[in-house]
Amino acid sequence: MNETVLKINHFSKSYSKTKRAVDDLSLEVCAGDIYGFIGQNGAGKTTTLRAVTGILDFSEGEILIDGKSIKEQPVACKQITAYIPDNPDLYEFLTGVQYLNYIGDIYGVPDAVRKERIQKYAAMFHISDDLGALIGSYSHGMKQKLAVISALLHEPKLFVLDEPFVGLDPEAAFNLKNVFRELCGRGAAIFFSTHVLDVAEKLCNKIAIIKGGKLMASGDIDAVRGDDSLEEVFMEVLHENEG
Amino acid sequence: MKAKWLLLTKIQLTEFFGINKLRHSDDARVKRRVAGAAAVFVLAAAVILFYVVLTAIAFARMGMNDCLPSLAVAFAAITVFIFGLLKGGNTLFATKDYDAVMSLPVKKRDVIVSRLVCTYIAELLFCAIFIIPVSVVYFIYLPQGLNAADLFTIFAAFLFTPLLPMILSVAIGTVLAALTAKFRYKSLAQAILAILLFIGLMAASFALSYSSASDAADSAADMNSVFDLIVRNIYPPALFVLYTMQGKVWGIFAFIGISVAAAAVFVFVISAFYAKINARLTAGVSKGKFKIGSVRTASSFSALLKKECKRLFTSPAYLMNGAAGSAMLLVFTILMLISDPIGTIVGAAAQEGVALPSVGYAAAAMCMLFAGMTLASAASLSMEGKSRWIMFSLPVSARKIFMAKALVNFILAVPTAIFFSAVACVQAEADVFTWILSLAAPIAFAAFISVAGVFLNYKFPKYEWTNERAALKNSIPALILSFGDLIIGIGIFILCLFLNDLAFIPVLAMTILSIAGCIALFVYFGKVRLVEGETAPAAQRADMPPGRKL
Repeated sequence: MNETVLKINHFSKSYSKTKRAVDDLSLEVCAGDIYGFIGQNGAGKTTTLRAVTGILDFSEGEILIDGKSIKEQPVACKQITAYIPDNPDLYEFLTGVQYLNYIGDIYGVPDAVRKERIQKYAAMFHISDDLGALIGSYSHGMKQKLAVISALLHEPKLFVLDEPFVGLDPEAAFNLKNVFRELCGRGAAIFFSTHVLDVAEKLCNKIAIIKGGKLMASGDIDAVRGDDSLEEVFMEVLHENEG
Repeated sequence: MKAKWLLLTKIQLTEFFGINKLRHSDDARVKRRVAGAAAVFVLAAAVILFYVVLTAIAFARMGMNDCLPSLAVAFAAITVFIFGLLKGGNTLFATKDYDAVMSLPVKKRDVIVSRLVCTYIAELLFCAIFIIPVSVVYFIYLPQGLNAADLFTIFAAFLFTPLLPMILSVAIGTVLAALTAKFRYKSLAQAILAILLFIGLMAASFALSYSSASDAADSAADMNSVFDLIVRNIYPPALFVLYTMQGKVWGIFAFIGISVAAAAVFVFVISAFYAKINARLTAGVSKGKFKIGSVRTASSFSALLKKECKRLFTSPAYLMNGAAGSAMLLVFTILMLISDPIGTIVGAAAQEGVALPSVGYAAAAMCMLFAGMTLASAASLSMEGKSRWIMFSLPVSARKIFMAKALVNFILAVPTAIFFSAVACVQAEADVFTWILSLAAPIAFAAFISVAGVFLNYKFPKYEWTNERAALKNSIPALILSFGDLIIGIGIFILCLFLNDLAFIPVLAMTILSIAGCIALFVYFGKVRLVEGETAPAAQRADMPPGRKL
């Protein structure tokens, strides 16, 4: 079995006294996994992803990245993680290349490697010509592409992405899927949320379904869906306790 | 159906005062924070009120009771104007909700009016702190007491006082925005122009004040010269209020007429160019095809520092707020170089055989006061706004992020502080110990204010904004620091004058305290784990129990 990159143990998070946004969630993402995290709006996906990346505080449970606790060693965990939120609000006062250099400096990416990666991914996502412009002038899709490039800059062990395909044009989405596969081949792990079940079904080797903050199903995609399609399984899980 | 500008204003006000957050937040910390903010504002208002009432009583006792309403109006108007300039005049343009608002079926005029009304309400509250207590003193000292005619005049004057200075500062902001709209670095150009204008206005008012005050022989003459300076020289529209108090009823109507006409003309003119200026300001200027050159790596701290500098210098409102103290200190220093006031005082005292060792230290206290007005760090976390996820997810310690923010503030404050102290020491013919302390005190105090600003902003952040003015304006950290700075600066200044030979003691004590404060906060920053607050994401709020849904 591959080494565990992300381990979530009995994670819970409440925003109010009456309801848990995430309730006792446990799962493991291993090196080489493309792990899809699916659920309705408000199911607790973003809360989980933000806790994993150290953005959101929590009091119950434990989240380990490469064996280190995000609560106790946040800097070490973040150093090997990359996060892209669903709506990449980047620094609009910087140009694209200034932002990439900023991220490169923070993660300590050597100059030669940095230049090569910027050129490679900027060309792949067709924003090379625009890197000199202020981010404030970028479209949503361009910001999303820039956020993706910045996440790829330090070749993290763990990618955490919230709806990464929203806003991307078809070619960029196709390229991103290929990048996912390439990185996983090199031992990275990808944990991402999505509403697009088709993408999850074709791309992921593992899947987790969350409903009302509770993990309803998780594991190898073939085991989770059995003989049904992912859409059928998802709808079944969604309406399990109704009627 | 309600007027559309009213609906737009209502939405803006909900963000402006945080009332909606208080009403609908489930989080006790949000409520505590808002309650804390309210307490700070009440305290600040009480301190201003105290000084305003004392000054008003002094004027009334000197037989200048009739001048009080017009003086209060002029003072409030000047303050509104200066603060308007400091905020960068960015009320109307390049707001984050521009596209959303302009896509609604509303007229441009409605959008402009709603933004102006929102600012007007905030300024009116501010004016109330000056005009209401002064009016109470006025009626107490008025032989015939409270009367309907004066009450009507003052109330009408109060309602219209913020309008004209607000329109003037917004108009200047608009002209600057229009002038710089084609520039690649438009925000920086706008900030530089605004700072130059601010320095020019400061220098002009100091020059006026110097010429008016120099003829004053006694306290009554002093007060007359203050009245002449503020009402006759700087803000003549307030004379209309004075005329009304003297029985010329047309005065108040002229005052209202001028204010309303200025607002109407502004709205009419700006409606024609609103979309055009906004489009220019929000358009990106691309230099064509970009080719990546050589990449120069830097340490994570220097990357954070560079980013903070860029943030500051690309936002006119942020820069104006942050650099006001330094700008004022620069003006002071230049005026000191021209007029040599310290040298004159020391020389005159020496002729009479009196030594004034306290002068150098009193100057150091003034320097601390102005260096402490550099408050960029007090909004530095709030300015992250919706991009704060980057800060929270970076693999750097909270201390590193905080220190980068504090250092930018320190860099902004220190050069002018050193310049001022050096000039003051030369003019005071200071000895080596005074030189060292005069330089060390403002530097240490600026360092303390810088880290304290970040600390307070960490405790009282304001991330949810659509216009960065919301993060800068009504900022609790800035308010706490401004008042702390004022009390400490003036307190040490007065102590220095009283202590004479021992004047170094309060300055030295404050220097040591500042250094200790810096060390304590540096240690504290090391223990901070930078994580997001407890506000639920919008999607999650949909799941909240009935009655709490948005």
